[in-house]
Amino acid sequence: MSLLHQIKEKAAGQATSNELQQHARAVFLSNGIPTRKNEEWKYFSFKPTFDHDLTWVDGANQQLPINTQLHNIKANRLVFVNGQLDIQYSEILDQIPGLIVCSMEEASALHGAIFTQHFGKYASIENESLNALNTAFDPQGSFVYIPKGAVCEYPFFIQHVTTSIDYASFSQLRNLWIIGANASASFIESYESIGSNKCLTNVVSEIAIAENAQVNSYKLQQQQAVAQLNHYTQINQSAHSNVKQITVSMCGEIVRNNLHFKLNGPAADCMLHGLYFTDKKRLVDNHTRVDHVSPHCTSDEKYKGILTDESTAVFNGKIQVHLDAQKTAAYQRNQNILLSDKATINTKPQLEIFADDVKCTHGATIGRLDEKSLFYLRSRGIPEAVAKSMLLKAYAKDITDAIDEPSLTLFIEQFIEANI
Amino acid sequence: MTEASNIIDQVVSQEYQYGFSTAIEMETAPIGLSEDIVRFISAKKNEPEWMLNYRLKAYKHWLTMEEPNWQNFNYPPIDFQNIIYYAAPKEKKKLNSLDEVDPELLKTFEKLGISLTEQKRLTGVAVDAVFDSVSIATTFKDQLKEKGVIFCSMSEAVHEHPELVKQYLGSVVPYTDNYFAALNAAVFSDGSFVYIPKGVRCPMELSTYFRINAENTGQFERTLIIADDHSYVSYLEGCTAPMRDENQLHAAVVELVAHTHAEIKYSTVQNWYPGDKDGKGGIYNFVTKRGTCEGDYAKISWTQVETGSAITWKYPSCVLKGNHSNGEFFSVAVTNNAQLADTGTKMIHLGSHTKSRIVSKGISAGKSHNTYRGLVKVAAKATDARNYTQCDSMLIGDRSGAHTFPYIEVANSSAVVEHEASTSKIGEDQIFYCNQRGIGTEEAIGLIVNGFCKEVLNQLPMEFAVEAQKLLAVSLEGSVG
Repeated sequence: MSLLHQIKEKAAGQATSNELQQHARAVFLSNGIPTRKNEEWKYFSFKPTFDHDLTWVDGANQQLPINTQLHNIKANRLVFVNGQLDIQYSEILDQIPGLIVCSMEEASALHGAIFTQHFGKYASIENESLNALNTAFDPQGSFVYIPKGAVCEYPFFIQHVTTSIDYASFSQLRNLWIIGANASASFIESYESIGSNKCLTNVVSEIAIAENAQVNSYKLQQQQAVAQLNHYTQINQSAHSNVKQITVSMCGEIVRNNLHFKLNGPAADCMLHGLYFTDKKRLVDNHTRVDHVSPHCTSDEKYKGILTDESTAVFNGKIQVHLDAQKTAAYQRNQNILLSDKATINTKPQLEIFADDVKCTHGATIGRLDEKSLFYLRSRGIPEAVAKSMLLKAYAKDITDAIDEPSLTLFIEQFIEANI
Repeated sequence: MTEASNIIDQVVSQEYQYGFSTAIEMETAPIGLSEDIVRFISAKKNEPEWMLNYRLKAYKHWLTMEEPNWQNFNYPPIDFQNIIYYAAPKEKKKLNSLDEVDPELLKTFEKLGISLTEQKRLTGVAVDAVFDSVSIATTFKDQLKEKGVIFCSMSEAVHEHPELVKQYLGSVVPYTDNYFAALNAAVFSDGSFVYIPKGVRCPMELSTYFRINAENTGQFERTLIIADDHSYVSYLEGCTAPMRDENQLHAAVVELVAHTHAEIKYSTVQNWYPGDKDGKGGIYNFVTKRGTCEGDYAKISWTQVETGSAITWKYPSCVLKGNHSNGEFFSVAVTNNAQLADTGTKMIHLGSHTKSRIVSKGISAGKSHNTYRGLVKVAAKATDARNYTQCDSMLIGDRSGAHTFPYIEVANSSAVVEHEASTSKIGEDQIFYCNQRGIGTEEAIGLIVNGFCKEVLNQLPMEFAVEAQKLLAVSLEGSVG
């Protein structure tokens, strides 16, 4: 039975009294899966995957292979398998009064007031039908509430594992992080998959950041070659807050990221960097959008890609400067290196500006490795493969260097060395 | 800055100086569009059977199409049944020389600064003047004929050079291309036809001047330029329209074909009536322009200065088929008051070693919005393609908008594609610097804007660069607040 059919049956079978869920179901059923006719989905669609026979899983106990390198990082750790919290691997090191770190189910049961105040309030579902699908059923995933003024010593390491060992699977994840005023925290998310059957994971993250808060967030997408991932992230920032978001897409058959920033308060500051590697016939699609709603905000965007084989990468960066968001400074760059003749890059750095006193620049470049640099290295006795990986590491360096977690930087650099 | 705002108010209220209309006896088609109207237009022009069939096919295809809605602006729906598709000054008898042209018409063009009479002609420029749906006169025809250059109106070409028209019409922009191209193919009235034979460098600039005069009409002209091997031509079009409260539609199609080693330079100074201060009236300029570099080493260069029209919606494009062929696009788009512009280019790299360059400058003032939308596509077989794109926007006034939608699609690793863009406003420090040196705010803005556009204006033929500079000054003077 096709996945889409299963979803429709599930919606019909499980009645809900939750108004948000009812509305989300209605939106999803009327809009359906976006096709390539939709401008935002111009280069690929998840439609064929939804027509596939995938089984909807929520929670399964599986023995997990531990990614030792990343597990050396001392962190507040949450491990989710198909959306269900695995207590065995999870631990919280930070002892801060008022700090809440738990699963979505627990949050809605025990912290109902905070949960309902924030849940579903940031990520729009109206024109995003996959968000609507995510919102239409009970959420599973991580919930983090950091109280006012709290300074978290350890990063929050959130590992999401999807399994498709015995059969092709579909699962949905949800993250809701609320960061109080003057607080500071960093997050590391890792998306992984186990199993050689097809799987699709549909993730929605909502992050609400209050005044003067400071957040670093690193996202690693390292699923298996058969796994598909759709990740929608909405980050709302209040005045004087500061966010650094780095997305690294390393694997997976299809990865689609929708990263939306909304700078609601004056002098909010955001940095969104990304690095993507594609090979075989894989596809990575990064759609980003920064809404400059208030004056004096800055955004700094930089996405870099390395493409080999017959892979495809899509970049669509949109910066929207709203009326009266004066003194905005927005920078956007997208750079790509094509290592093969069959790789394709589609990029669209887009600006929409409705205020006059702004400084906005954007740029995109596409090219291959500089032959002169390669020749220089080779003439000094460095083998071609090593020379190439040196150059690529150097190319990725301004992104990897922005990561404040040294073992994470090392992990990514080793990945480049091993895989390209 | 109050002094500056006063100056702005004065200048913004300046009237469109080409807004007069000519009282002349007109012959028009009945209002509306149907198969009969298509037949009517074709019959009016005594067209051969194949031409009528082409129009009818296009009309039937148009009926199956939907109006596009992806553009970055809104406009009230166009009632295609409320447009007159053919309007021409009443012909009394067959014209043999310019002396027989209605003096009222000559006066109109005189007033627009386009002289059709022998003694006052701009030296070195041949003009084809199009008044509503028909071509009035083409100058310097004989001199051009000596060189073998064909420069005439489209209706003449259909009769005198049917083999060329048959071969090339619709070869670059087929009637299936888009909604407005299909409409144009069905009802196009006139336009210019240019053929430059092998190895000929066209001795003078060719130019067409379009004038909309009649009320409720739409202008649908069609231009076709063919440059055979090793030839060169520079072509310029200009346009104006009277002030009217209703919006008028202008849906033209321009096709360029450049063969091996040929070069076509196409410049536009577009100054259709932009509507009044509140955005009432004005021309909808929905145009399809495209050129193909058929042969190796061919070159097509588009230069446009867009100051008029209520809405401008066009993307002059280059299809680079030949190896080593070259496409260029230089554009200045100025919008003021309630004007809207959604313009840019498409560079399709198909041959190897193809090069393209895009320089686009957008200036938005008042409540206007200016959009650059472009596509650079490098196909899998286009090895060693090179593109450089620069699109800069300047914002004048805090209610204006500047938008950029650059699509870049590359499927070949040897391609080098660069895109750069920036958005800024005229700095108070820049104006202060000029003021300090005794240059008034008004002039300072002109200076800064001209400097901003210089790269593009330098591409225009000399006579028109001067005109374009003046036009820029008029469109923008004092709009800084």
